[in-house]
Amino acid sequence: MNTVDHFLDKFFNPESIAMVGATNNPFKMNFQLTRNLVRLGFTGRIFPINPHSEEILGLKAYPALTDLHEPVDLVVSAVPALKTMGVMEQCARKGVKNVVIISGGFSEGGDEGQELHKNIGAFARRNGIRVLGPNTLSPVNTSIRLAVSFNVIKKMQRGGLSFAFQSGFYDPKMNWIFSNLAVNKMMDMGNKVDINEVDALEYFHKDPETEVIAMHIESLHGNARDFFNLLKTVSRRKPVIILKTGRTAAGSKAAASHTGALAGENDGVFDGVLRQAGAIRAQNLEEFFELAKAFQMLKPPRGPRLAIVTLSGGEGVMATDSCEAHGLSFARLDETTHGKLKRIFPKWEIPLNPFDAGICMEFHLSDIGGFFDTMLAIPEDNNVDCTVMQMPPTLLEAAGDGPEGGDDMAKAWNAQVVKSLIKMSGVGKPLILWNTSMGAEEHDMAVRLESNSIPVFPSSERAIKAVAALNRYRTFCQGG
Amino acid sequence: MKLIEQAVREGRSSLSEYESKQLLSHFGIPVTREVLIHDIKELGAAAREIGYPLVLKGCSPDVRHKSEKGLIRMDIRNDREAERAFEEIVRTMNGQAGSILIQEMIRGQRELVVGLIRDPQFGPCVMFGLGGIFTEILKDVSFRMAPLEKKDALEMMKEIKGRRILEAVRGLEPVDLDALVDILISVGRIGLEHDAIKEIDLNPVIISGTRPIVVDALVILN
Repeated sequence: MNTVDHFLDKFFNPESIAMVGATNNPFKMNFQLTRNLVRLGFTGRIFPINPHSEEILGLKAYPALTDLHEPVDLVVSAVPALKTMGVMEQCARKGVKNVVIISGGFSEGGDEGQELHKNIGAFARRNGIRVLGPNTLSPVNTSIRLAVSFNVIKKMQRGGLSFAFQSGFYDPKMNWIFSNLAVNKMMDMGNKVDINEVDALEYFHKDPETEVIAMHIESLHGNARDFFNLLKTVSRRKPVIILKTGRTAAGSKAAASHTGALAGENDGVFDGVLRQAGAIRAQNLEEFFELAKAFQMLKPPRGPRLAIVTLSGGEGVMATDSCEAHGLSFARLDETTHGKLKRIFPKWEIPLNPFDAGICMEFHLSDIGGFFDTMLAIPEDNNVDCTVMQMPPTLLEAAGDGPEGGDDMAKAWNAQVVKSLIKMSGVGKPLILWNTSMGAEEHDMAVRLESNSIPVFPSSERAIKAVAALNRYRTFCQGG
Repeated sequence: MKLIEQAVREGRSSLSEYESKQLLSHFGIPVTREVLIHDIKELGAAAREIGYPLVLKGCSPDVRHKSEKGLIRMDIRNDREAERAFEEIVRTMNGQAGSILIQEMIRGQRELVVGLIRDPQFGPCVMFGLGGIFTEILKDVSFRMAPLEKKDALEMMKEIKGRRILEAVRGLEPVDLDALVDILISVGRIGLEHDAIKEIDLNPVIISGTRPIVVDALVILN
């Protein structure tokens, strides 16, 4: 097992977990907490704690933490807020150093909750216990098949992308995240009674398995200047994508009632500080996951010069507009590239960038492999740093004689397209696709492309925005 | 700095324009040449030292919005205009403590703003943007946390929507960006070195030819 010299390592790489509030009742939220660990095959030991059951999901259960005479790396407490202090006291008696508090009703729960929040924090500090939450659903570590979640997690896709959230908003999206992104670790900081964004960033910085960091922040709890300095250091080694919410006055009020924080800061300052530190700011939720995807799959381009390949002239115009708006430039393709591409031109002369592959494809449907091989000239051109391309259609459904014949042809066509695109990305420059209509077949093709590190975005604008972020990150790393 | 300590001791909430500019000069920030006088008898000598055309301003730590209060007279061409302006300002100030600032008249079509705020989380942060009345109307500004590197200052300038104002536009020369960078870095330094300062507002910073010059300045204390 990979170990990192940081106190958070016991949260991400525990060898044993005690689940306080575990239950056999499938109609209780807590049921899934233990069931996920069992089903996913968590590599460590699991100790369910419940005074009324002797066995939970085939595991020996213990009435209380103090009845368990084995060492425990991590306690996950899912009992109601008012009972949490009791769990903390047992942890102190047992010498447990790491606790996750799932339950809500603390700093966001009125005067009484705030009092409870303060008391838990003070108790933890006095007893040298580190606390994640309250009000959290985490941690997740795909390397050891660990996931603390209320959702039925079907499968995990392991990769280099690690998340830190300040909310459990991602929990209902968990399966979507796992089927679309190659995740390494996830942590929800919740109400941050102890562990905060500075700790999370420090850990992900040190963690060799984390290659890209994505953070959702409503408010800063750690020292903001420390956070900035750390962010600047981390950004030089690993891209950090940040979704900062609570940017309007009303939004920051909502954030305050949500996590009990004071998010009343100046968004302009936050924005400037993130740029200064080289972090990548996502403006909204879609962008957050899209940027995470782009940075996880691609290395930044060597420069800002784009080649755009479209299947419709109209989409080409939209892509051109986006390119201008996001500070990227158009590659001027070489004469030799023109010579190569001319082979697939229609009967008339067409511009090379944006390149209308749609009109060319019409005349080369019978040799789609050869057609794509010719198009390799685009990414291979020395003046091109990155290729943004509309995803080819899955249009041969209806061709062929019977339904089976059509299916076979469609399969062959799709397989050829995926193969050709992998060849194009093999040139070693980012290849990014967009596709504006995501039907079932298209989705299938997109999944196959993305599993080969060719990201597919829902529009040319969003693809180009991602390229612009990659390009800005390159400039930052080069000190420009 | 003595003048900050003294102002704090006196329980004042800000420095006068004259004091603010002395502080800025100490940090190498280019400000208007100016003389502070207390009596109309000093006017002639001050006018000769600075040279016409002049600007006369009522100067007092108690007065913040000088133009709204009618305490500024611009483009004063001769002794007679200067005397009349002096008397009008004294009358408008209506016995408030203060003096009259005799200032060189800076001409330029481009006005910028440079500021310092103390963010509750990030501490001293520098602001840059379009100046004059546009600061309030367009709010076209960018921020960076102090201390600033040269790269940060240059990026701040590129971030505002009105960034082309710094280029060679409509027959104007491009702005001396290095001079502007120095101002931004120095304002950040002031914020880091003087906890007693809550805010700095340099507005307008007028581009005279290619050079930025601070024409009005306000330092607010904690």
